[in-house]
Amino acid sequence: MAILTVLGLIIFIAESAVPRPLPWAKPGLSNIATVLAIILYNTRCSVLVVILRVTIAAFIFGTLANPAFLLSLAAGVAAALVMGFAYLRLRRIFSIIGISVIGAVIHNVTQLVCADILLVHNSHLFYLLPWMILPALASGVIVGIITVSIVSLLQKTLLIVSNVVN
Amino acid sequence: MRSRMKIPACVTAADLCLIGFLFLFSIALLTMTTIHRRPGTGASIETDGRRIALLDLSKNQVITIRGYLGNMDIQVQDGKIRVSSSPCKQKICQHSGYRSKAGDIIVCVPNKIVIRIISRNDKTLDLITG
Repeated sequence: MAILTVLGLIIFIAESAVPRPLPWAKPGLSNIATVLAIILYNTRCSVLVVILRVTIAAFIFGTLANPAFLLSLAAGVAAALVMGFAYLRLRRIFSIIGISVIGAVIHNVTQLVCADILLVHNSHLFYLLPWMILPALASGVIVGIITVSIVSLLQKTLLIVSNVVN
Repeated sequence: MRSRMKIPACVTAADLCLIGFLFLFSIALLTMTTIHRRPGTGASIETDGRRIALLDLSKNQVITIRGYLGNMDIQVQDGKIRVSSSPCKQKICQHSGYRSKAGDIIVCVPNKIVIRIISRNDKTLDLITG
């Protein structure tokens, strides 16, 4: 499980070094670690991975006292919980990619909602909703595809992961 | 305890439905907020949900607002408004550039400032959705 946390951290730090065309849309590639945690272990583990990753990243970047830290935490945990639920109950309908997309969208929408309620108190922020959902869709699909690749690789080489079907 | 249910690794029909739905929903929201574009006549500067300043967009001016993090300069020029300097780290508000249409907003989350463009007809409503 520590491996996944470190993985998520490395990915996050790497993507922070790349300049972004849309400043608020972080490529959510660190969610790969979150989704992997849900598939390989369970939801509780995934939530732990998220909390650790967000906290340590905030430590490294010096943003612990930042409102953005709480925002990332809330968004990440919400996404992990919803993904875990989807994985538990809705596995038959959605694929790994679908679950990643759900997670990404929940992540971004939670950020918007929390920023609205806690920080800015302005219900006109829903104008920004499309700008949150669309990047989340793209990010979710990419995360899903990468996760699928990793999982099938694990299946073939290490012969683990019996709960994924191609 | 893990159940015996398996999760598909390939995209399912439900996935596509979900993505399609979210995509269309976002596009719909986007078009709804962009076709009602009337040029704004004033800008309401708000913090914590209450208005602290109301600017007339027809008067060129530069004002300084005290936000949560510090002072922020807001400039009105030729009927448009922008944040010319801000104490926040990421400067997303500054990079939003000039705004002039009713319903537009510029937000600085760390500084807790919202700049809303409003139009003459309604003081509190700038967009009425059907």
